[in-house]
Amino acid sequence: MENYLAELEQLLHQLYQSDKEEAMNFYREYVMDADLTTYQQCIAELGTPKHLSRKILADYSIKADDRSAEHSNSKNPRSNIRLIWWIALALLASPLALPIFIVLITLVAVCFAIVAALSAIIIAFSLISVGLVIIGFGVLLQSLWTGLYYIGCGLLIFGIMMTTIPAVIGLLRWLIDKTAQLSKAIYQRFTNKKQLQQEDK
Amino acid sequence: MAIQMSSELLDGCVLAILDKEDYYGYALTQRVQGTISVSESTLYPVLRRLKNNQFVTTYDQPFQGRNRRYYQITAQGRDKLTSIRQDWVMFQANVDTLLKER
Repeated sequence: MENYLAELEQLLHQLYQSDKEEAMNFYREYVMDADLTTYQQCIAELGTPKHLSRKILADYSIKADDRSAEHSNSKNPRSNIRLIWWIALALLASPLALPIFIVLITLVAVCFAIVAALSAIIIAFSLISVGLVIIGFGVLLQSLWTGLYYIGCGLLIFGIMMTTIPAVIGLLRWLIDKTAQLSKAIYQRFTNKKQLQQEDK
Repeated sequence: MAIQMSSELLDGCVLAILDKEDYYGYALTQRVQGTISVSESTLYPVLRRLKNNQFVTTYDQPFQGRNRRYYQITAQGRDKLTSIRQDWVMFQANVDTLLKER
């Protein structure tokens, strides 16, 4: 039983100290009152420590997300990534959810592939523009107009790339945001489905 | 049973139980599970939510050399319970109307 609680506490390390303490006190008391003396009994009643911790964490994360959504519309991409991660872990804890998890992973992979491709294009064009400017300066002494033409082209492309970068960053934020919302929706639908199955028994 | 509990209803049920007397976590879980089937890990988030919304308060009482945390309904909690009860009566009546339609 102590092993079970110790394991749970370790898995809750992402939570704030006070939240962790509260959850741990609740389950420590629960385990004692329920007279769960062995590790196996704990698992039979509450599920594996991993399973329980993911349920607690996913609940906290979704709560935190709701709260931050109330305060401001622009969400922190880092907290969104963490949300996606936790929900992915929570889904992974149940074998039933494997197909959903695969879909989610695929979606995330596609999003990041798009972003990676766009970044590659931007980097390539930026290099070309720098190259053109250098060539332009090289040619400048031989032919003034050709040199100026190359420098102009280089600066033009460079300028376009500089204006695209914020747009790509915006797109990246938007993608992460949407993925977080989607995984939240999946998580909620999934937990509802699970409750249904339990009541069917 | 294929009909599931919404979190609002679960809040209402817990508040209704606490309206009669104070409970500690395990006893409350047992009490709820005696009537409706919910998983053991469902009650903690419910109690946390009720506490954050100040519908319940907690106090600790020593028991066999350790503390038990008891949950107690607040005045706000009673108001909330009244409003959930009213909503439920409305909801129930509406569903009945449709279900009994022939």
